[in-house]
Amino acid sequence: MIDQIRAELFKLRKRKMTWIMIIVLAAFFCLIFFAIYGITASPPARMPEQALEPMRNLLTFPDAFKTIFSTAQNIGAILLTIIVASSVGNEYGWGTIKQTLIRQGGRYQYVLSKLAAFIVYALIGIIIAFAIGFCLALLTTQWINGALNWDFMTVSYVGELFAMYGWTFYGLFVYILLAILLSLLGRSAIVGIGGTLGYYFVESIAVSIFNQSGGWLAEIPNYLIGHNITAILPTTLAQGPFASTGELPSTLYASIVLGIYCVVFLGVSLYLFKRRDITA
Amino acid sequence: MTINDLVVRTEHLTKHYGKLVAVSDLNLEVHRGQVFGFLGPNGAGKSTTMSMILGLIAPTSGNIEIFGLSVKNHLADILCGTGAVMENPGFYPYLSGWDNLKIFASISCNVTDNRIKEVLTLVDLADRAQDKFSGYSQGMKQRLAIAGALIHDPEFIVLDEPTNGLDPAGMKEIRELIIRLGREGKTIFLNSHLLHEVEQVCDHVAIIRKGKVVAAGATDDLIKRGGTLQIQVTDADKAVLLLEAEGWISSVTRQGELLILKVPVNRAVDISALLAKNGVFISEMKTRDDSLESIFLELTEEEAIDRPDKS
Repeated sequence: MIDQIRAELFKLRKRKMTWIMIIVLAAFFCLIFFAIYGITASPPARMPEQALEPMRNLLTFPDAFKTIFSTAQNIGAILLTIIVASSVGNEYGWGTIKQTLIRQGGRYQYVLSKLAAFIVYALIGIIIAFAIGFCLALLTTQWINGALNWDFMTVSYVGELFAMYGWTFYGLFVYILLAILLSLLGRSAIVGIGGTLGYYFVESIAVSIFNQSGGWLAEIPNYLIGHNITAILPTTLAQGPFASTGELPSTLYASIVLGIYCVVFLGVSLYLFKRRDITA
Repeated sequence: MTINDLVVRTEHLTKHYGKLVAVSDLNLEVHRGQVFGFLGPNGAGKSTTMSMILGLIAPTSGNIEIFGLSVKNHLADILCGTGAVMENPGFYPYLSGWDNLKIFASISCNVTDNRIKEVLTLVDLADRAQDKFSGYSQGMKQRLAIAGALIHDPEFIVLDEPTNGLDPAGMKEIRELIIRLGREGKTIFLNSHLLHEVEQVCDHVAIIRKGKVVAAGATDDLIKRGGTLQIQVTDADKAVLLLEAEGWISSVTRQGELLILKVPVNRAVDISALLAKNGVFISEMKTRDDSLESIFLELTEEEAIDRPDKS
């Protein structure tokens, strides 16, 4: 199993797409930070000062940490979906799935080793996102406040940062499992990418509609992935254009709902992969 | 041959895809050290059988044992001693030949970097090992697949069309490699459309049609079994009548004073006795072995009427 996880990580490391995604991640962070800074530095004439203050907070420590993790989750979900689905789905297209399974026949082992490699990749990806965001926030804090003040950095705040790191990963983990499931289901990268991203965008639109509908329809978002991920993430204005709106469930409720999704996605993936013939 | 010599044994192996029967009640035995040719027209069930042997496809019913172990329950142990080249072998296009083998070596049993070098040299790819797989020619891809199959020095090797895409020189090299592996005591299960190739390298063959074995045995026996006898007799008219009445003779053709009999050549004595008993004497008898190709075509032609075993 360890050898297989190593092989999966080796494949990810050697793939250009992996590095391109990290560059896209960095570019997206630069775009978010510099675009917001641009607005705060030279705001539109009619923009009131009270609207500018929260925007400045997004770019300055300590709130900048929330911006970093929220951005990492939002853009990370899209980039990880592409990496995960193409990594799983292309194995069918290239015929490498057969080559692997005729060497070690364990079907569960195959799926779990891929999952383990994606977990490692996601954990490293969040650290990279954190590093990029931290460097950008150092600049923007300096530009906006003129000096850096680390008084907020207590032991308990460091603990909070680790918790934010964990919740960000948890949110990404659900999308990793969904991308694996759809890629295995469709035996293709396109199905995995299209299905997962399609769900990601459609859900955000649907949630807005449900929230405006009221009644029992307004309850539906409480059972959806994106809405619950928003509930476990640090709340900031920079949760991206597709962040869920409306009243959010509690962190405990959201984490249980997401946990159920994880179990179902993984369970169905393992069941399907175990049962199906490999004919690609 | 003892049961311990058995490398592959399938019992009543059957695979259905909905209403389509891909493999039906297939019983095969491949013994240690055999170079076993598995023949059949397209869609006969060869690749499905190979995939079932390798655990990629689950049988609808029946059992497969490799090295005496059930594929269903001991697949990992079986694959440790098994190497395979599948049709259209897949590799990661963005990796070099070396990196591809390195990945597959890491999940195979006991493979060192030296072994990777060895197999790359064996298939004449050592110089191109660092080139990306996507830049390889079809022949190079096939040779890399063979290297991949041999990387963990398996005892049992499954080859599905291993000379696909190779030029004549490459085909000859692979043919010689298969013969050499056979001499080294490896058991080889070879699926090839190139019957001449199978005839040259395989000591045993099975021919399947529509998922069923229609002939199996030692290659030499099979060729002899489907051979032709040419005889000259004292009374050709009477001989034709006598021979045509025998169910185990496929055909009797008269060419002047000569009779051409489609018959297992190992039954020449029976023919001689039959004719002599009826007062017809043979003045000349010649045997002519058919090629594997003609036997294959005879047994697998779609329009052919199934005949009872005439051996």
